[in-house]
Amino acid sequence: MGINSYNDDEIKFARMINDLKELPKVDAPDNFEYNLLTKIQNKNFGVEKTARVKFNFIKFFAPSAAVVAVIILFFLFLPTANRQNDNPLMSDPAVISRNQGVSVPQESLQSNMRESEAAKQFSSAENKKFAQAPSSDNKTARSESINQNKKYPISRSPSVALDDYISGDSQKRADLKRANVVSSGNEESEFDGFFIREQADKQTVEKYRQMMDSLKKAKAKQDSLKKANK
Amino acid sequence: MALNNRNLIELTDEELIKVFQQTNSLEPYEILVKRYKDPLMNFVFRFVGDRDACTDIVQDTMIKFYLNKDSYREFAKFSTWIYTIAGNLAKNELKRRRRRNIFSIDNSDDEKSPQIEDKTFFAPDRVADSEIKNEIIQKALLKVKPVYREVVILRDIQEFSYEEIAEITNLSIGTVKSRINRGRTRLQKLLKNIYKE
Repeated sequence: MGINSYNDDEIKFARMINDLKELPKVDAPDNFEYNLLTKIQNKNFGVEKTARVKFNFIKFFAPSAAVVAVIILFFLFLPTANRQNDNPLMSDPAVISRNQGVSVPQESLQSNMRESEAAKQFSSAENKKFAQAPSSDNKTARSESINQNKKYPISRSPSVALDDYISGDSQKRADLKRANVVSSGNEESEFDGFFIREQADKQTVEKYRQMMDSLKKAKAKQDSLKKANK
Repeated sequence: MALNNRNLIELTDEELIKVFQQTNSLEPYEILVKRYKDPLMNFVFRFVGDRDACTDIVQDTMIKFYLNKDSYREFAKFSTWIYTIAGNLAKNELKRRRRRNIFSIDNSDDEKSPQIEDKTFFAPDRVADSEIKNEIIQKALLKVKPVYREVVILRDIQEFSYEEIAEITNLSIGTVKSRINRGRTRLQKLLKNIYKE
């Protein structure tokens, strides 16, 4: 401190430097020391010593991890959520058998529908027709609505009369089949059991009839021979 | 070390702080406070321009000195060490004010700053009056950038050597000299009504 000699740079500012030096000195207030020592004795330093927060890996990444987890869960459970959103009132109700009061599970019906191509066609084209049909013609509407029930092609009939079935005379017995009952009894289902439905031609029918006749004759001959032996 | 108050007064700054570090008694501290409170007040007032804020800053400087006495090392001069603390606190205060002015709705900065270059502000005959002149110089000083202002105050008002200023500001001597020169040029430009040749 106490430099008054000017170098070359300072000469051009000499007047200003002198004025700066002559600026009145500002003194501390009288109670400066008293206030300071009071603060020190009361430990009222007023210096905020905020501890620097250490970097916490878990705390730092917790929000982002939570967001990622939510996104993953969202994508995982989104299909399920969609399925649950299907309103059961909007889907087709399960058809209850009139005779036995047996409700057919919807899923099994749908799987059978997939197998029966004819039934699909029926449900699409015929249903539209039915939807557009006037309500006054009850009989036609009823018969067509019954056709809708071709969704259930498997006959639940426990036994099959093979002869009648082959000969085509089984109209009455076929009517008793549950599937036919469901589908009004007037028509046979497109798919009956595990047999592939084929229209029996007359030749085949004759052939099987002759076979049956020959078997009957052979049986009768056997019986007569037994009687004769006795 | 059995030193009475009279003996303590005779000690240099560096010796006093050593005693304070060793004994932790308030006597050497009080002597150092007495020695430096006024020079620091002057320095901070010229730098900040507000008396109340200046008092707070010097109080904080003394508290920092009290709390961090052990961080002082013998190889440095006590004066440069305490001026460094005061300078840093003053700069922080200026930064805080600037931030406040940016976010303040009614920015009355223009109202606060005087029209130094406005010839009609003070009549020429009145400029000669030393009190008003000092006021004009102080206001012009506050218009100089803080980086230049600090070194000009330390050199021309507090009368530190370039080496001491370099130590206080943690700059090279070359930088200190160039900053002082720029600060003076800027100040003289602001005070051209007073120093017109």
